Amino acid sequence: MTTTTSEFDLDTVPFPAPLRLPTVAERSLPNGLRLICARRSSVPLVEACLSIPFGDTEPGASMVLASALVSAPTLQDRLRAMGAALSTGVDADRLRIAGSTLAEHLADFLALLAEVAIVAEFPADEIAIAVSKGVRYSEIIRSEPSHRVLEAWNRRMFGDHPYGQAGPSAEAIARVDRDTVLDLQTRRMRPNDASLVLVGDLDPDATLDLVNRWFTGWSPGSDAVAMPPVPPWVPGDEVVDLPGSTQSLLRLAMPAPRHAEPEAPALAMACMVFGGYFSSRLVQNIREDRGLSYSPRSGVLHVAEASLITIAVDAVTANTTAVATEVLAELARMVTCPVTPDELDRARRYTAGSLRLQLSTLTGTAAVLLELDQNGLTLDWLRDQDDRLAAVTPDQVTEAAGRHMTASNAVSVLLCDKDKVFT
Amino acid sequence: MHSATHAAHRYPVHRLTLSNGLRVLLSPDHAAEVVAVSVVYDVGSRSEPADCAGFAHLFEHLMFQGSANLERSAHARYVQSCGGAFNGTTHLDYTEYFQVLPSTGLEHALFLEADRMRAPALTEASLANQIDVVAEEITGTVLSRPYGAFPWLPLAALLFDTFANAHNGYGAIDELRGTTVEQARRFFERYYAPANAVLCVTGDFSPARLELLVERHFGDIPSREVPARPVIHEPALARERQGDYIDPLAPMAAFASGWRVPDPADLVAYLPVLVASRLLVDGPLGRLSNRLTRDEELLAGLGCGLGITGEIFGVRDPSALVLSGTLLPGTELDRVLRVVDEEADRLAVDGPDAGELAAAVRVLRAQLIRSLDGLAARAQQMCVFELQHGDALRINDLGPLVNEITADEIRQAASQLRPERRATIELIPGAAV
Repeated sequence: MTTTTSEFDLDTVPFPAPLRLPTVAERSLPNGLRLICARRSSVPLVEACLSIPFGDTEPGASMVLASALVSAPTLQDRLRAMGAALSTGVDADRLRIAGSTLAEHLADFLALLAEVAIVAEFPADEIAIAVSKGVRYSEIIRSEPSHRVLEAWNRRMFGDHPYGQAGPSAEAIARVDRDTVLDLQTRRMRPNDASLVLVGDLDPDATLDLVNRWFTGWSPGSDAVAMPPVPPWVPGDEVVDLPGSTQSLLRLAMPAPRHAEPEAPALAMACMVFGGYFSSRLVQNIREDRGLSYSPRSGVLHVAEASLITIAVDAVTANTTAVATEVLAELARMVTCPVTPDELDRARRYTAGSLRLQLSTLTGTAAVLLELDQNGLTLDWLRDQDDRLAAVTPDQVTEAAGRHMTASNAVSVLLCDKDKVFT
Repeated sequence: MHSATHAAHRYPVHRLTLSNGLRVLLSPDHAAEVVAVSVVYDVGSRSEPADCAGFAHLFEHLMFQGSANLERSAHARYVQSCGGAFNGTTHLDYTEYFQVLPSTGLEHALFLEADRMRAPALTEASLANQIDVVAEEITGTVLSRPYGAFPWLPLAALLFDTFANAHNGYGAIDELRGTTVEQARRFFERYYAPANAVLCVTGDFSPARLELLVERHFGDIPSREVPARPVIHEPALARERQGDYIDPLAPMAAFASGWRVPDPADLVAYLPVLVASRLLVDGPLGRLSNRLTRDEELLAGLGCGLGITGEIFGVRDPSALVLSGTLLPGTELDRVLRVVDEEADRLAVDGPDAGELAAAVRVLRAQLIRSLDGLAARAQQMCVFELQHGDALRINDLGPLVNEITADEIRQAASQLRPERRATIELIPGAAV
């Protein structure tokens, strides 16, 4: 055998090879729909996601519309005949219709997707089923402590703004009828600023032509749709009492700079060092050193009208105070124990690697392309990501942490058995 | 478009066995500059000793706590510095450890897996710390949530009789607190022998170079005897079983029924049951979903799958088909079960329509392809198939075998879903509104 290998040195840790981006074909239709296609031919599938701006809609109606959009048995049967699936999801920003198909059925799949987007009929019995399902779902999800804390957290941060809810109430869902859904469809299921991402075993140019054929008749809406501005940030604490609970859920959030702002790369690194991955300070401290929590985590969350640093830690009741103390101590340490070059180097490598891992699967590639598009970013922006992170210095990371990751500017919510925690 | 070539697409596997008995699978794929390294040990919660419920899972945590060469936090630090992700998961019949990372980090992943296969650090401090972490995990995923571990834990306890199959694989927190480092050493000595494991690497690498690297890092791990596999077989039920319990946090009643299925190692008998389950319940569709959630409005939701924990492949005999659903207020469970029996019977007698079967097969094929797209998932499945089917390449046969399933085989599979072969657990909601 002629192959040889060089000596192994554990402490010579290689940086990931230069980023290899997918080749993407893009087109904007006159009606406003953006098409984004990437070829990845290793499996005979195509992954699709159609994303439509849905901000400032009534959450109950949005949920019922999303649920009834693809539920009709005749539609599901047509999908299954292609080995395909479609599902829908809606949040405070967008409606997403996502799925995948065997590549050999892509043309039929796109025709069906266009039909769903443009001329969905919402039969009365599908609306009734969606309402009843939604009411039950809402009851079950509200019994989850993680949902209860999310409700309080969102309300505390955003008040009456659409971001202030964590999904519609059972009462709001029960009020929805077919006319409400049809009205919402007429106003908001429009191609303006919508995007369609397709990734898989496809010919990008031929696929763009196909999409053009099926979606060109989708007429744009006349109303300009603007999300109301988020209310001013008011830091503060809240305790949600859940008598009898055995586990406490602590959540903190602070405003963060937007993606494209100059400070964003340094702050992203600060969040990573703080609690963004297993090697972070928070996880090493409260899980590996103290055994106080299974899965403490933090990250940066970008939605259409807000960017947040989020911190989430769950702990058994007896550990609640200790965990809260350590979270605050670690936030303070981001400034008193400045981020070291080693810490920054590791955070940077992990971030670079994660992107490469995401781009190695069909679903991951589609998710990356969609996220870029929704944040108004381009593939070129992503191409420069490694360079932007390389330019960040430890001092900049510490400064960003000092400016943004401050407990005094946090909205904190703790769900727990109040009597047992505060004795 | 390209279906003719892809229909014949098979993942390649180069196979070797080291002198210490470690089985090695190399499956190159150059679509991305990423590799996955998976090590699967032939021990899971169904093979843990009767006085050690939950120990396989606790031990999995200890495998991340350093080694003779490395301190406790080193594993995460090296993998993540390579830009990679890692995890360990404990299953009924195996325990998996993996890294998925940019291909530049391949040798680091191999070193780390070999290092802990050779000599993990098993100390009092790590054990105490990880018992605390596992207690947090159990509280978060089982005890403090509505429907925690439903239907897996309560259904297994009803459907099976032996400790191996019926016990709680998380274990009880109090009992875990009594475990010792000596138990951990014995567990490692017995179950973590190289010959009781399979290593698989998928992704962007050169097989010739990788063979050298595998030999370099794993070759000198001493060989040890492999324990005999525990006998976990149990006879199928001869009489229907029913049970119930109160979930104090749950707002709505739920049920789960389990029927024993053919040995999953016998794919020709097992796969028709999988397709039959899809004909009965497939997302919002399927014969049972149509009747129970739409036409007769008895249930708020219904799911059906193979494997008591929801894992279709990667389980040994005995396993089960599990049907579970949430009851609408006022629904009598007996009425639901009567509909289940009627539909199972109808499928057993009349068989599926041709179009219905073709669609179910097509959807399943697409799902199988999708589930193997990720390098880590593919490496895991290859290891598991090597252990449980004696041949990693069997994953390439799943699509073709599913394609060949006939209406007769579906009828035969459905005919096993008899009430007398069934165990049903009902969850009574303690927090009903």
